[in-house]
Amino acid sequence: MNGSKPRQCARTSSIKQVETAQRLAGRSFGVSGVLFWGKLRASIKQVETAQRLAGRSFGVSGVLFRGKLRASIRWLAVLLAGLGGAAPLQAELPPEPIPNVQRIETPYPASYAVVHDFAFGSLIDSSFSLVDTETRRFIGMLSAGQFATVNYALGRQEFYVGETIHSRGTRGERQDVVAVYDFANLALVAEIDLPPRRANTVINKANSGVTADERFLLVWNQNPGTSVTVIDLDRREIASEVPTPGCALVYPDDDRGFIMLCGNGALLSVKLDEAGQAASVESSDPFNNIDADPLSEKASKINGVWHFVTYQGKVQPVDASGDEPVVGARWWLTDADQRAQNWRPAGWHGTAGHNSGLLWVGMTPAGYPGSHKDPAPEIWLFDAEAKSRLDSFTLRVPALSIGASGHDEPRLLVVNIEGQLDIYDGKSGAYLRTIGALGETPYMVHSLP
Amino acid sequence: MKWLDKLTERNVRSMAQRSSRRSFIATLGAVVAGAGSLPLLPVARGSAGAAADAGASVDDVPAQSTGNPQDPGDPSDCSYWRYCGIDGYLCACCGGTQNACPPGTEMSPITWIGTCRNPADGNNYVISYNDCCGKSSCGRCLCNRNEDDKPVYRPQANNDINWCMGTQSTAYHCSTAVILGLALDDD
Repeated sequence: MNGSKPRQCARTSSIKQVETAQRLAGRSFGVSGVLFWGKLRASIKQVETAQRLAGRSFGVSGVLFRGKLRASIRWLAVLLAGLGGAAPLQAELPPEPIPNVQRIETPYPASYAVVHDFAFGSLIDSSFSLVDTETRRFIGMLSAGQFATVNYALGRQEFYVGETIHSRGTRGERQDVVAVYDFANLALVAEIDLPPRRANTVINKANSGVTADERFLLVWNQNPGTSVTVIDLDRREIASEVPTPGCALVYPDDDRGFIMLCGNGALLSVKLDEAGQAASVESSDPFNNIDADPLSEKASKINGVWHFVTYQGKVQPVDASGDEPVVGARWWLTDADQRAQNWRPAGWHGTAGHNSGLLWVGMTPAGYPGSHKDPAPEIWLFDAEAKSRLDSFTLRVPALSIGASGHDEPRLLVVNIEGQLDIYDGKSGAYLRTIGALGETPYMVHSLP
Repeated sequence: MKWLDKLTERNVRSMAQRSSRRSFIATLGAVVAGAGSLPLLPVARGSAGAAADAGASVDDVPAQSTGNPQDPGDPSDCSYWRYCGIDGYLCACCGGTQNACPPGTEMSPITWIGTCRNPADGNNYVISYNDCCGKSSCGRCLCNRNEDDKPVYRPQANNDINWCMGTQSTAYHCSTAVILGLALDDD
């Protein structure tokens, strides 16, 4: 677009010239399409000629485009009037405002979801697409740097995008930041600078989190020592950095705290005080045999209980609803026959939960050591409380990642291996619709309950 | 990462399907071939080596060899023995080699390691998957194999981490597979 901005008087003047040129043209034309386009081109030429005669050159500016548009609309109206006989023209279309930027009605409906494009082919330019899974409409986008994360606080109606950028693209000063965007405009409202050590990993929901009271944002650091940066969302500044040696990821509890998984097979539980300082840091006994059958990091929380699945197919509940986390009894996703067939959990993020007690798990047949990130051709639905399978669905296209909407009748959201978002009925597994063109390598879906 | 290659490929293909009358035939073909083709979609197990070269497209990379019979396979192929725990673009396709970064990049000093078996001598080797940093994604020969992969909370055995740490830039370009030495037996 032309860099110069015409003043309002110039814009008005230009429109009048267009109208004058059209009146001067004052000729009658036939109705064939070819002839119509010829006339349209002719009319544009007349407009340009009129502008040149007036000694003004607007090049390809929005003003001239607007003039051409008006001209073409007028010719179209004339043409339609000719086709329809003597139908009178309605009042002309009013001028439209410039600039004009769409707003989003808030609060969002439960059908909204965010799809994360990892942009593996250009990692420094990732994005998050906000879509309506009911209407298939693309609502808007958040742009982000490399290895980004997204979280939100419904009470604040804000998104928090964690990202790493360099001052000169792929070089220059490393800058880690949390960018704050409002729901209504997807507009940047604040930036919170981070120490340059936020974890840079392939998309993992647990790289960051918001405390249950939505007071603090938690950012996991790894460089390669590990810690958690606690950000006060009231003040939009860092409250503290909690050293968490040997432990990774953040899983918010139902209080003002979070749990982490540690390399020695234990859990770390951190409670924060009102100021965002660590009030307590407690380690559990080791319970996670990482060499034999580790917990996948891709967990889902249902009514305060984090549900992890192991590589081989057990569910490990961790109740994070009380004063301290409680490691529950493991249960199998599969029966003996299914295990003999090597059915195993799979997917980039292969679990989804709903507070009605439903747990969805992506599954792959003929699993093997190393199949834990494979796409999942089936989704198995479980009653997490009863620890029993309710149903299984074969997907239209295998899943990379799944999520569940917050509807009372939940939708199952599936980012498939073709880069589309498939929407299914969460209980019956009935395929409903697909949203495509969501970036280069969409890897993850976040529901917005 | 074969399924990721498919992701991009299928985006283009599905667009073509939607815009032509061949859609029905293509859909029918997908249904017929589906059961057999789906298991191939997960992690790349190589691009079928020489067999694939017969029908190579301009997007394929030319086959390579280490030139050493003790180090068999094609370093530009995901099935190359050293890549048993790799996740990323193969530097051998990006101007580097299986153990060297492409020109103008910087090799990460720290990284994750895996243990891979060399089919030529039957020995297990400790492989260091050093990333090459400072340029944007290479975009060629994406390969993701997770045979030894552990969750990110055991970082030294996890291939999801961007190991462009301690380098001038954290921008990830590609990954190498460097032999550190023979692995010790468990017992």
